[in-house]
Amino acid sequence: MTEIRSRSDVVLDVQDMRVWYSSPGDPVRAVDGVTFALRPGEVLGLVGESGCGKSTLGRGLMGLVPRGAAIDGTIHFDGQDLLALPRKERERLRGGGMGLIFQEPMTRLDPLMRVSEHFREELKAHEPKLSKQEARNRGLDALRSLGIPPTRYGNYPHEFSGGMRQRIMIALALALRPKFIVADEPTTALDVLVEAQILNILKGIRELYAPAILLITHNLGIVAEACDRVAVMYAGRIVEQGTVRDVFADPKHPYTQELLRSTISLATRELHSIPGAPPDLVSPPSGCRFHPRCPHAMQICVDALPPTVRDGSQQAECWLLASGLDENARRPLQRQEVSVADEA
Amino acid sequence: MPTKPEAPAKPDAPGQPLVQVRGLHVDFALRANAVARLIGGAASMVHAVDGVDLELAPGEVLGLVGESGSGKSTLGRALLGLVRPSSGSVTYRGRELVGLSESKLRPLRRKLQMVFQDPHASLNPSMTIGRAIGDALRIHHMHPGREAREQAVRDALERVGLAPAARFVDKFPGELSGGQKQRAVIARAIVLGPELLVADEPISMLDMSVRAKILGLLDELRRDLGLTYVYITHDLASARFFCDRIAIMYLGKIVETGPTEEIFSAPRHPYTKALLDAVPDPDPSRSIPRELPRGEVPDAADPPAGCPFHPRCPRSFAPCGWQPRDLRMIFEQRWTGVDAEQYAAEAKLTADGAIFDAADDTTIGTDTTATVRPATGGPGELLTLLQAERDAHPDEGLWHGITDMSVHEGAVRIEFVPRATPALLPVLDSAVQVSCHLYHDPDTTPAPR
Repeated sequence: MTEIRSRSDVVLDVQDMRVWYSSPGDPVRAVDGVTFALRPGEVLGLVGESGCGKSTLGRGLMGLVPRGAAIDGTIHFDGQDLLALPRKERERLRGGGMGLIFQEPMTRLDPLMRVSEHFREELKAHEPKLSKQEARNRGLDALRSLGIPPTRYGNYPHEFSGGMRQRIMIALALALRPKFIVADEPTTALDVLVEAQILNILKGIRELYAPAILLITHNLGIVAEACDRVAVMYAGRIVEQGTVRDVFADPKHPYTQELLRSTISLATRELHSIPGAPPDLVSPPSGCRFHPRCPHAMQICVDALPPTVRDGSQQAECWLLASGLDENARRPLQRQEVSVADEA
Repeated sequence: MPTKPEAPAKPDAPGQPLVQVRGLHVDFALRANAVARLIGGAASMVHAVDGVDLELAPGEVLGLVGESGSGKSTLGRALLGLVRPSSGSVTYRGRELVGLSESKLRPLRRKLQMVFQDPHASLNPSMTIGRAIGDALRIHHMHPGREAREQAVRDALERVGLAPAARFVDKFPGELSGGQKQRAVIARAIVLGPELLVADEPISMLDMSVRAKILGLLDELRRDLGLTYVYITHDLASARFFCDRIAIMYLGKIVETGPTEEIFSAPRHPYTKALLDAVPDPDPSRSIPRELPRGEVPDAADPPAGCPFHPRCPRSFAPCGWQPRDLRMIFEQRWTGVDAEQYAAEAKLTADGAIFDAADDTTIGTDTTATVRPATGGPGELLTLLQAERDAHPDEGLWHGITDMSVHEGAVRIEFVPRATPALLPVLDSAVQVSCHLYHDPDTTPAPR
């Protein structure tokens, strides 16, 4: 990945990032060694089950982790190493350089503030030199680009529907012209038609503002339709990444394969599910973390962390893709029967 | 196996529906504030379920599909007598449920059970799983005696996959995963030996990989116990897999209904089509349609005239029910695309679009004439603005619904095409019913209520 970092067309370059939470016993390894990069204007879908660490990863990039959590690794944003920056400077980047769009538009806007006041407050904090009129125009422009008419600028959040509130949230993030946005399940609370509208908007804003977007979702359908590349996360690690087209057409990691098979889509004629449940991140399984649930698990999968193997746009962390393994290492793993009761 | 119900009430007459709904209305009164409540006054009403007819054959799965606010959950609850309908009828094996007292309903509830969306909220956190399920039996005086009851609870737990039951009976809900909790909720429903299970979004709170497991369990129970389901969901993908028949709901009305395969292979109502197009599909060769219905589900307390979907409908035309307030929507759309100067001028003329809401709206029969007064400036200016917008978007359905615009006594008079409310009617050569003017000539459909 070093060769990418030196290239100027990378907005965000993350190397071996870890976020560990403290807990009464051993730490929770919510994010445990994650490496990826984002180019300007690119949408990367980060997908995985609940508890796989995808939200923690998104917030960790913004430096928003609870007290008692530790971040390690390197995060290069716009040429600066975020983790090496003093706290003050890092905070300055938040909002202006990097934006965040939350899942619940209902609770993220202040019910006592008009939409206009949200914009005024935000722009005053981040761009104090802006005149009142300029701030107003900036806010109105951002709203207009998201299909909200200027007539609604003076309204309170409760006067808007859920989808409109999410548009306002996105407009608030965009008004600061960030280079990078984390969108954490931005459509999960919305109805399907409104969800499609918002996804269209996220595509549309790339023409106007061109931020790089990390779109966190549990919905593979959204990834397929709204993202350029996808990173599949399991138990704190990215197990596979690549262009959406390649990963969906030919998933290399057994977890990606199983996840795609178990998704209920309009084409589903037969139900399939992954046996077992995601592991406890306090003491994740040894070797490959997916080995207890993997249909192709081998002896080596228990013993050692799999290598990252590249193939075209894709890279996956799996022993099945490694070459030169001996007979013993390739021995199929005797899997324990997983009863339904132990499942999630 | 869970408890076996004693012999059915009466043998099935051939073709007799298990549940039949006729002309069902469920209304909720809205009182704005404390003063309004004190002085009474006309409360505004939300027609949550607005004239629904349906039938459920024994053993079938009916999917109620719609967005939030479509009335699908209220309809599901009304089937079980959990909300009181304002009018209409719900019969279970020929017995009327509407108007029954709670004490008369309760024995029937054994046969009519519900599974709720949020498994975390539908189990009492301070009650063990065993007790939660056992209580259902106690309330309905089934399996008297501790021994028999505990056995029935264990059987139900194992039936839903929580085996060995001994591991789960003494657990509290907080100790279970989401999927396990939903299994426990299902066990509590089936332990009574129901015939009908209303499942309200039973998998939407669960993780992707768990959804298939719970849906698989529901499917298995249907086969093994001969259950009839009403499956309430906004998720078309799971509905397609699980349901025999689908009813698509919008603002309290069924807008399209028919066999699942036909609904999905040949959707007719523009709303059904839009929903199907919008489902995110894990196939990267597909992309989100650019043509989506605009806006969102309108306020149910003040639904649009005519077809409730008309303001959002990409295929709307003259008779769909256009009214003055739709002009405001058109102009708000216009203003997202014009510069600040032009917006300022037009907003002044129209008071930010408020003049369209305030239009004097005279309806004689089904003919509507609206008188719109400009906030500032003369009516000629307003007429020019309206005409400019019409010329910019001549394909917009609204303009087909307006027959004439003219200056009249200091205002602009706008004449609308007579409105007609579409009715749910069969489509020729199909098993589908649809409520849309595209399929039925508005002249032959009944006039609005």
